[in-house]
Amino acid sequence: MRQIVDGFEFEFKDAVDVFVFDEKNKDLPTYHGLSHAMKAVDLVVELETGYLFVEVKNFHAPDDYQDGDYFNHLREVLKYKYRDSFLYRWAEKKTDKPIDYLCLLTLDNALISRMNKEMRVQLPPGHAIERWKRAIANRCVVLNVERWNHNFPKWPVNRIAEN
Amino acid sequence: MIESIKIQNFTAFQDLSLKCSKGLNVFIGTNSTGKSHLLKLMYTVCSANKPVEPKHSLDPARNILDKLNGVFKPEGKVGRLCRNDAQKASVRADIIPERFIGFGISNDLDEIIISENQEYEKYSLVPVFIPPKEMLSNFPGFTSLYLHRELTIDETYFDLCQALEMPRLKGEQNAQIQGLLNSIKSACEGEFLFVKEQRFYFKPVKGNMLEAELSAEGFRKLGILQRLLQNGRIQPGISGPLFWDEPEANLNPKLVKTVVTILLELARKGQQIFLATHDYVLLKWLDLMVKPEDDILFHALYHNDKGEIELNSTDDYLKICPNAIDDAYADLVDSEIGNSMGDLGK
Repeated sequence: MRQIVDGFEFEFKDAVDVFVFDEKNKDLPTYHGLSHAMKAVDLVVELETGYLFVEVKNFHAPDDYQDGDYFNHLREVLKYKYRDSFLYRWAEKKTDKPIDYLCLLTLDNALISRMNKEMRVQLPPGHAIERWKRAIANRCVVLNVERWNHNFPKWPVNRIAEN
Repeated sequence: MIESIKIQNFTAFQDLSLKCSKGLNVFIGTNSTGKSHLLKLMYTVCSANKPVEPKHSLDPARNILDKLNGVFKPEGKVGRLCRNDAQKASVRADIIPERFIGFGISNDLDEIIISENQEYEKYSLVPVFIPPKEMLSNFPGFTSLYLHRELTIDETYFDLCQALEMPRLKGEQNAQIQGLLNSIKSACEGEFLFVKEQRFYFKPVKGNMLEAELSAEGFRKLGILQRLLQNGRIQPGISGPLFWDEPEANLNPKLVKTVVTILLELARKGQQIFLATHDYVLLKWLDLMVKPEDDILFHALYHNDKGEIELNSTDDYLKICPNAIDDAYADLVDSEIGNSMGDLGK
């Protein structure tokens, strides 16, 4: 199944379902309807054994990094997009399988490593503390397009040429 | 100012053409892709006309030969600088304004043959080469030692010591240069002083003066920059190009931002700069601090399928290809992803 998001074309050949989560079209069954109240990841992918939440941020804006809080802001955006999406899907009774969170960003490899560390601390995936009996996210990873294609060969992603 | 250089069969290079930025040129590449050799060759071309000793003549062939021998230290004859089994190496450099020099080296000779020359002798802007190892602490007695003993240390270290030795400029410091000196003082929380024109000391903002050898090595690297700015050996529009091989060596990453700030400011004032780096932090600060109007080129050196060195130049950080520095991080990230995500998506 192919899906285009924010300048990238994804292909999830083995998916049971793929849909744009923050769907604005009221005529579609996947219409979100709570965009005014809840943040949303870009894509939800249903696999046989789990779900993928996919968030895409396609930009390279060096000036933004000059703002010391920008990196933290980006981390918070990614974090709350996941949490709101999780809550929405929980209310739908669609958290019946483990959820992996994949964030496709336009970042250097070195910054990706740093963001991965931040997200693991802040989301957090897995059984973060002893009191948790279940995870809100199974796993979480931040990638750029090169690392995505290297690590997820089953789900190729391509940049769409700018016109 | 070097406009371009074309090299054939010289050391590691088979056939390489480089067009230079008038501002900042940044070379990246894995080890053995010739970054330092390229910097040294361009430095040789820029400095061969500048007699550091009375022995220099006005003969460009003699001057280039001496400088190549001093900077590259080939054993026996300069012909050893020819690539592998090549019979002859050739170099042509175009220098602004409208000057050029072309020369050849035969692998069995210790001589230079000038093939083209347009007013090369008139080029007189003195360049500076800052090698990877700092020299403030090794300064006392080094120039004398170098002149009177056979050393394998290359001439860039000797030249740098001579540049450091030059007294401060007369009068008040140019306001813009003073701003850069203040940045260095702030980053190091002190400044270096050349006492009795013999030895460098570090004077912290708070505390007692101490010998340069006892100060932090990273500070000493900034101290070199401080001295060269104070004595005018780096003077945008007046001095020749600045070559800096691995500015990041022994520099705390937090000081790298200061270095990048100063280099960009110098470039904006008309200083041509050539850097070779392995450092992500330096490269990233450049990406973050470069303005659209800045004249900057990133030069990626790499081995092609035949093992020959090739070059890709771009003014766009994102288009650096291959980016040896970021690629090194890719291995780390892949390992990290593999550990956390297992077989997902495989």
